[in-house]
Amino acid sequence: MADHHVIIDNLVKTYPGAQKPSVDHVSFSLPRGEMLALLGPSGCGKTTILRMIAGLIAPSSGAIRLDGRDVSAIPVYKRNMGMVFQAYALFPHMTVAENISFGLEMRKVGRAEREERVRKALDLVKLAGFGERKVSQLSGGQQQRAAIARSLVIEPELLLLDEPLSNLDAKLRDEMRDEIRDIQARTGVTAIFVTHDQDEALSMADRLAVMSAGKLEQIGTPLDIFDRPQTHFVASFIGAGTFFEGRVAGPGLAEVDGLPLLHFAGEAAIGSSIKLMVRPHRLLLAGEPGQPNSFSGVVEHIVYRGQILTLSVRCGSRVLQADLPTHAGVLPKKGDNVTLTVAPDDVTLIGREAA
Amino acid sequence: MSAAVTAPASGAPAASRGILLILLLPGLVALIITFLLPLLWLLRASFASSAVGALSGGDWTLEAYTTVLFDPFYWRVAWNTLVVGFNVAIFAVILSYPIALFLVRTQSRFRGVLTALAVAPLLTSSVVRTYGWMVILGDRGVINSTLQSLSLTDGVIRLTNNSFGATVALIEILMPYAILAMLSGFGRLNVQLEEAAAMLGASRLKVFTRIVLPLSLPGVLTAALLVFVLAISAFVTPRLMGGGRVFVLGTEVFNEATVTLNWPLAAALSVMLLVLFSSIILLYQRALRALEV
Amino acid sequence: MTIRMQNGISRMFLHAGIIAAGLAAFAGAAEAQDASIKGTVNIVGFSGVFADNYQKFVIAAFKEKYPGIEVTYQQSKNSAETLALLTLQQADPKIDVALIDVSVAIKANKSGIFTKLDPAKVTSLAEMPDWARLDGDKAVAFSQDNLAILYNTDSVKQPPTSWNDLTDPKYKGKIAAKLGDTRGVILLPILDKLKGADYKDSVDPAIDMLKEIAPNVSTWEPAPDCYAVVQSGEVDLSICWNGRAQYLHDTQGGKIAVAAPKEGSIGQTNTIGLVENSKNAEAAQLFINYALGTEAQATFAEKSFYGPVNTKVTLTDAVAARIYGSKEAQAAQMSLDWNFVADKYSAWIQRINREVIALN
Repeated sequence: MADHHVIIDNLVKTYPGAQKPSVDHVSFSLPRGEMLALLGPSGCGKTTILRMIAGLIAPSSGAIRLDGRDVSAIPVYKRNMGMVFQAYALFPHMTVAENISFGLEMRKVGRAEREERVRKALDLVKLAGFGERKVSQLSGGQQQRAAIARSLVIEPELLLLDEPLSNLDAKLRDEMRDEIRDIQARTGVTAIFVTHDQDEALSMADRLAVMSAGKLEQIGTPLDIFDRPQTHFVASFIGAGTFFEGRVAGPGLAEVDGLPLLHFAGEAAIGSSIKLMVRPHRLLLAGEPGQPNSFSGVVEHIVYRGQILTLSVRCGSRVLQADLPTHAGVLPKKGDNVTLTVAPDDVTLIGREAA
Repeated sequence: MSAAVTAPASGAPAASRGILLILLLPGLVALIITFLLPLLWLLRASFASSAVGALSGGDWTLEAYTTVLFDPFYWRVAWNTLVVGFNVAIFAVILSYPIALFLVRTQSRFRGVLTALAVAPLLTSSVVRTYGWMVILGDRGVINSTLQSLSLTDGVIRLTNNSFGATVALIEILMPYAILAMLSGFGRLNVQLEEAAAMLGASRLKVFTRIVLPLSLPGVLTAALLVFVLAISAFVTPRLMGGGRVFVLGTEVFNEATVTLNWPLAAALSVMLLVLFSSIILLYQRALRALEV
Repeated sequence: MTIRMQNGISRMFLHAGIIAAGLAAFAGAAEAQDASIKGTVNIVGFSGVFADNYQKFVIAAFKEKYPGIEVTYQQSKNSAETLALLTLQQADPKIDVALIDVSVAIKANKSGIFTKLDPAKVTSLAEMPDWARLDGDKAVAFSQDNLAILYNTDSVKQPPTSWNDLTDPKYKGKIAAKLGDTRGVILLPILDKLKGADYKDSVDPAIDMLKEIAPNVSTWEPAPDCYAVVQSGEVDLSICWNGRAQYLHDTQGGKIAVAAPKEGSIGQTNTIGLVENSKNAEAAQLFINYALGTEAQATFAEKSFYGPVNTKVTLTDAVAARIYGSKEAQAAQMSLDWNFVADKYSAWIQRINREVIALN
């Protein structure tokens, strides 16, 4: 890990007069070519971290290393990083081509080479021929592509993106998500993007870093984050789930109020209090009663979502949320008695930290 | 049948146009009475002969215009006016630019107060402010007294009762207008654009020359135009600060109107001033279009 | 000693020694009150101290004589404004009597603003000198305010005695002179006479002398006026009107004083006129008759330090000194052919502006 391309080491940012730091001792690293998502609710510090990496904000303490070099002292305009802003920040008084070649001009690249590289960048983002257009003549999606081209043409060490999809409508979002992923993969540039949208993070990133209130909650692949959240925050922020609190009654067994004993995967001291979570899509309609982790109850509420049927089932004093695939045979209706079951492996231990 | 189909289509827009016209009417009437009619009177007066009473239905003559156009004295006056106008516009804009830039970009919580302070001088009459400058620049004024008490100069430095004093006073008096014009004209400026430029490798100087300056140019042009137009029509400040030595169109119109009572000449000089205005405004519009993004 | 009898004013000075015929004789005389005459007179005239004095000493006295006549006095900033007002009203005048500068009156008469006065009704006309009865009695001069050199009593210990003193290098940058108006027009004949020339021939000698004075002038446009800059000590001397300066001397602690040059001076002349088609011509002529009469003329002269025009007025030595200066100056007092001067008015101002001021 020490030889990773980008290393964020104990980064702290406390604004003057603030009680708590906005970024509280965050550390993570990226290997070359990886795309990392910084995910979290607004105010969690993710944008502050991005801007510190870019050099737009000075850290209170900590280091930012690129290939081992601490770049914290290097001024913004010498860091050789590319940044795509949320509002694109294209220069309105220049054409698309002039925007893209701006970074090359600053690096004193010769005219012929500039034109060639700009042409290639336009091709890369599928904006060939748009060079002479004025920025105001571009649509939202085209502006974003131009912004991406502008930041990539300089062959930056690191690509930073601030909420890249949030300004686009749903259809464009899908399209651009795939494109950005594609461009990043093709150029192989190491990238970090910031988002508050978990779908965006899960679908675009190689790894996610989930943040809350300045602290890094968990970092891992989308699968890790989604299926094996390590803290309550991560578990509740990503995806939906049903949460259980109880006490460990035996190895892999938990006593939860109002329900039969829960079998779960993971180590926990007997007698200690515990938090567990089950993802909705892990709950299945039981074959026969009597299987471990069986819950019987009445269907209170049904939401049909095309591929999925979301059930709210009342078992005793609690409501369980289940997502059933709609292709599976007979589907329960409101008021039906059903039995749900979940494999012990899919009952996730989410730490002993309080919520 | 076709009439019934087409009528609604044309009826609606006509009705709303009618309402628009009615709403505009009071403003139009006011404008016509206070602006257009006096302007027409002025034009008529400029073609009258200088005998009193000729204004009320006398003959039409080019007497005033031949004087204005062929007397070298008035060419000098017009030239002086333009020179004063340009000097004042250039310096007022240069001095106001950093102030306006700061006000637009500052995040300080005193931003509103500071802006109000920058513009507050407009609350004072320009005559009062001119007198203030006479106190500062006068022979026994603040500057001369200070220089003398510090033994930096022997005699008195003539800072007022000349073109210099008039120009300096006009610059300061018109700066709030420049600041206001620039504040509204700096709308395209955006911190993110500067950050983007910096990330692309632009040093602070480059950010200023390649991003901030070009984007602030429309505001600068508007400010320059406003100040220029106000400066070339000034007569109180050139008269008070100029010691009678500053001959600009404003002072000449005033003299002809109130001292020598040659109203047609005063009118013709006013028309000349209007022609200057219009040419400059045309130039300005051209420049603005060229900058258009 | 030959005393030039060019005009009625010089003749009047002959009588100056006769104290018996002075003001006192008139002060106690009670003219019969005539309450039977009713009417209105609307006057427009100068503002400021002039208005105060005129209303207090001329109009009030007239109203006492004719309690049945209502008199209104409208103040105007200057003669140009009055002319504008009268021109606008020409078809249907609301003003009956106007007090304006002589050159403006001559201009006004070219467009028939005023009408002839009836000598039978305005008997005072007989007492006025010929030069004062302009354009066939369409405007009559009633006061003259001499052009003088004003000085600051603190900084000028040896007041100037001659117009030539203005060229003295010790006053470099210390003179304020507003000459782009009537003051300049009046100064030219004065300086011409100094150089032995006649203003009717040419004013070149005067212009040349102005060029000599020019380096001493700090401002040609004293602000707020030519009196304040002397009072405040900003300049040592200014070329301005005597009447106001005398008033300020009395009321403002004597900081400003008048040095009436020995070569004599000329007075800025105001005229009174009856507006053509006035609706109150009878009452108006009564007023004009009073205003031109010896009583009003003498009183106003004494209070305002403006020189009277009526030939029958005699002034005490003291008053005469404050209006005209020393006996030598009094004897050298000039008056102008105003019709000639009115013709040359713009041209002379233009010469002053372009040949003297613009180059300095």
